Amino acid sequence: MSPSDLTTDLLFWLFGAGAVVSGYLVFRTDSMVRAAYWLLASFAGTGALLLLLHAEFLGLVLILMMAGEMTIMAVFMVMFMMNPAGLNPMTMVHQHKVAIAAGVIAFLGLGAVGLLGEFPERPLPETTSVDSARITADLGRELLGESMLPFETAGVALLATMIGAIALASRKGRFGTADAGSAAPEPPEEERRRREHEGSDDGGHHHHGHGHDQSHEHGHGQDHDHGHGHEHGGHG
Amino acid sequence: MSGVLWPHSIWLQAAALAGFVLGGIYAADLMERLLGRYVAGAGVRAGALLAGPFREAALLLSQQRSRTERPDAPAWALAPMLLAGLAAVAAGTVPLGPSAAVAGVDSGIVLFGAAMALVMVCVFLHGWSANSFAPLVGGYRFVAQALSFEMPLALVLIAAALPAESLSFGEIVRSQAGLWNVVRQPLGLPLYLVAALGVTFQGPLATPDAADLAGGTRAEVSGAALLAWRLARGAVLVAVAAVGAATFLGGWSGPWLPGPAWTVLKTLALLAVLVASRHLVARVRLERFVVVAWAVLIPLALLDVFLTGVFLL
Amino acid sequence: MGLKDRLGRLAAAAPAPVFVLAGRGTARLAPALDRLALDPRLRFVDSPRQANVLLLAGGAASRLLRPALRVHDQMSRPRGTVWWLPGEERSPAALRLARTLGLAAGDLVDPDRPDHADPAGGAEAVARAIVRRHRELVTGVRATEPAVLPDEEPAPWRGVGPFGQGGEGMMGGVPYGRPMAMRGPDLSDGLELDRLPVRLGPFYPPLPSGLVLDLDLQGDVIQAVTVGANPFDRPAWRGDGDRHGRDGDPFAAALTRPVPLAVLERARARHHLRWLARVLALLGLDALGRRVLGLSLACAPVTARVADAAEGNPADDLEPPRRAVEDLARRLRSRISPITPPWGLAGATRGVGRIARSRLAGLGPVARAAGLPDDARSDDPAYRALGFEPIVQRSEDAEGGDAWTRLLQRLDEAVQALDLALRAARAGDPTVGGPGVVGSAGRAIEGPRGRLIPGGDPPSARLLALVAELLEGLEWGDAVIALASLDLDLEEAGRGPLPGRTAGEREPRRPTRADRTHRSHRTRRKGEVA
Repeated sequence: MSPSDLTTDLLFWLFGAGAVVSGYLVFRTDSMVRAAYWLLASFAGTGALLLLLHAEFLGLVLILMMAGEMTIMAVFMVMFMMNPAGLNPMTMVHQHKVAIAAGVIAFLGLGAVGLLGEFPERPLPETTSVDSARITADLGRELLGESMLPFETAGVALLATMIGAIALASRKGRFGTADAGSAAPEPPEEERRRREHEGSDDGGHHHHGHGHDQSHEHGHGQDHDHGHGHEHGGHG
Repeated sequence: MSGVLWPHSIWLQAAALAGFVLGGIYAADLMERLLGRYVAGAGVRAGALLAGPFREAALLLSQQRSRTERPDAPAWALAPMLLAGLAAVAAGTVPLGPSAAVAGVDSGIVLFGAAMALVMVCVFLHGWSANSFAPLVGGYRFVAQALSFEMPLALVLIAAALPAESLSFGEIVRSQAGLWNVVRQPLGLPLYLVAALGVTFQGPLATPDAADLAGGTRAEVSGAALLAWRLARGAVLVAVAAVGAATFLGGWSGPWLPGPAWTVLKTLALLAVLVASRHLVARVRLERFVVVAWAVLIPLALLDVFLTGVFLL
Repeated sequence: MGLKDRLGRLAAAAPAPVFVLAGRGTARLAPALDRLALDPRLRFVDSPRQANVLLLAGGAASRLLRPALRVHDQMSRPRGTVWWLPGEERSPAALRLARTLGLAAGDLVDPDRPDHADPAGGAEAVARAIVRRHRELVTGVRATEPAVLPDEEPAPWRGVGPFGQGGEGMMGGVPYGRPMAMRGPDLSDGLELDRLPVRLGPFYPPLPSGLVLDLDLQGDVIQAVTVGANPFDRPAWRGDGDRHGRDGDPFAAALTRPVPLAVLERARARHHLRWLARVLALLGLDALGRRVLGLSLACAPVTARVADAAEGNPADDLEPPRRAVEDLARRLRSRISPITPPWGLAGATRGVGRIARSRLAGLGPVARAAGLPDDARSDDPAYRALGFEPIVQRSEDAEGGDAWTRLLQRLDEAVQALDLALRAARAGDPTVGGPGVVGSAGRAIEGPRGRLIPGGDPPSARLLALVAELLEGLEWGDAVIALASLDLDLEEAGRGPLPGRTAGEREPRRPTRADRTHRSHRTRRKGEVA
């Protein structure tokens, strides 16, 4: 085997095994953020495999997208989960028997597909150097040619979703500021007083003003006495 | 002439690139100090100024690293090294001379974009793994900021790739032989600089390491780890400036001087702008500026792509 | 080793990184501290981890001891301490603490020694001590100071809880010593998100010195805040109102004896410029902040005692700083031609930290920035003779001022103060205040933070009461700016009621030693001006 073939094989096994191992570690680690980043490492390994297949654009785009997505996942897990760093022994896994059964069945099914399926054989022409620019250009023609409909539809739908989410989360929504929550909008105090004084009647017209009616009835149900709390910095 | 100055051996090329990056870090530090002294109205002593970065590096090496309670030690140690690696990758895509870049892939833009996306992972890990309040908040801030600026950065680079009909930086530089992109895509360079400030947390967007967090992600870091972090940050800044020079200012093209010299000069010019913003612009309110990034910068970047396409057709 | 030596010598030539802890009595040391901040041999850092030398400025208040030791142990090695301790603060407890820290004789600097009575107020001696300590540490001549506090966990967790790691059952508790962030409803819409309980201690750099906050944070949004006890609150000093004047506050001194108007106005300008420098540093413009700090030092004579300042200084030295401050004010508020830096200050501060106007009576620049023309100087004939008109920021909406209007207000007042000082020098140096003048006919002294009423609360105490509701729901960056815009001084708030008395009251009995040991609660005197 030529040195470049050997190198390619070594890199393939390195990245392939790395992707599998880091994928496994996603489920073995207790810390949520670490799990998200092990998944990122697994995707990076897959991206490296795509690079080895000379699909440069796809491989790099995969890594680019996954970096942002895994970070968002990490931040969301810290926000919503009760044991993000795994410091407490709370397990997030339930229904062990069902999960094991489902996992085994899925593995057997996908393994059967992978081993027994007929994958298309379209090897690259034997040339001394691979023109990855041509491969990227071919990809571009495919995206904007035969596969234009699904990709453009998906793209526009995603854009609309993003804009909608930002509109929902922004401060000045249509029905008042985001701080006011879902309380009915009410006019600010002084405006109401002014209307009473002047006697002008707007006919019950609602003004979408700053409904800063902060009546927090939430109550602090969890009043843990956290001891010394957290002073600036680490241990004393 | 470039053949004389640009060695063919990959190791010498890598060494030249490393020298470029390190020299850029030093120059950026000098420029920041110089401007800071000028704005503060203090005097400038040449000897102290030139030796300043080395003295600070020696000071940091003499300090010991600090520990916190139950940090995520592997991630905390990984963050500056990964950042330095990403800076090396990003700098490697930039063609210093006409012959090639160290890592002159055909999808140079996408490689650069992927490196910048992973910068977000680095800074978040640097903040989160310290198990402390200020670094954690700094990490959160940077996630919001970097996510918002990735898209304008990518779109602006794509707009620069359109006339070149290629995603490689070498082709982009060659496509500017007639007219630099800064002239024929006027929206490009300002947007790129703002997005660069956002992704490299510099100047008005230096939110993760901010003074109102007592240092943010570097609040719990000291000693060699802090030196590594600051060097890595500087390297990312140099890489971003070099990419900007290649994409908008014509890279190596220019009269009289050899190609690499022009690249260095243009990189220094962009570095000066990026570094000067620290002393001239106040740090933004992040919540408001994220809205600006999504609602103003992305439409402007899309407009940039659209206009470039229109003029090409 | 040769390399280590060379590295040590290089490091010794670098500016010494210093972390400053402000103790009791820093009002007197403030001008000298500013001079140290501008000294090129030193670099004030914003985290103790990056400092080599800890500068303790002032005396040790009992409730600051343990936090100070904690900060000391958080410094990374090699670490050293220099204590700038005034003579009157050298109690046995303080000297014991110095011995515990391992301070040598040269590390305890006294600002009141005769050979230190230079115009810089002992700053040069402290700077030299710090630089020497830094060099000793970095070149290995002197060993690093060991940690003082025992290395114990923040909260006991070993063996606590059913799984032995400090949790309460499967979740919550203090695993490995840190409080686990449990979920709680978010302020804005009730969504169950994580709430991290954090206590930010008295020496957290972005907060005013001495402020203790117990926060519940979701991400970087403050969900709940409790202001901790003021560590500068010393019960033994309540009732001894002259403390204010002795600590170098010319405004409080004016409540008991006449003080030249020029001195008051110079001190006011210096105070506002010093505040501006701090805010600029918080916003990342620390180079501009240093320039403003230099301007502030040029405004007022650098003396440690008010008595010395009563001699007055020629006013010619005020003209350059006055022009510089006016130029800065013009650049900051120019909307028409925003081509000169600094940019972005309005964007960074507008809309941050609004307080309802009704809460702001008598609170000085904060009130005037909200549109209330509340200035005690309007009633003073000395000021009226100089043509004084209170400056008020026009506010567009019904709510109070924000951080931006407060910044503009203080800048305008600094220009006005320098103007008044110049006019006073030319008009024969009138005096303001004194025991008989103040209190009768409704006159009070206008301090830089608010109205000083004899026997009343200092304005910082009133501002402190606004902090909790101001911060709730704010993002962290906004919270820091909002707090900074209030200009709190916890030491002033802890000194107790102001000196002097309203017309008709008897001379208050001076607290005796017996009083100091038995007094257990405040006696509140209503500071109502007749």
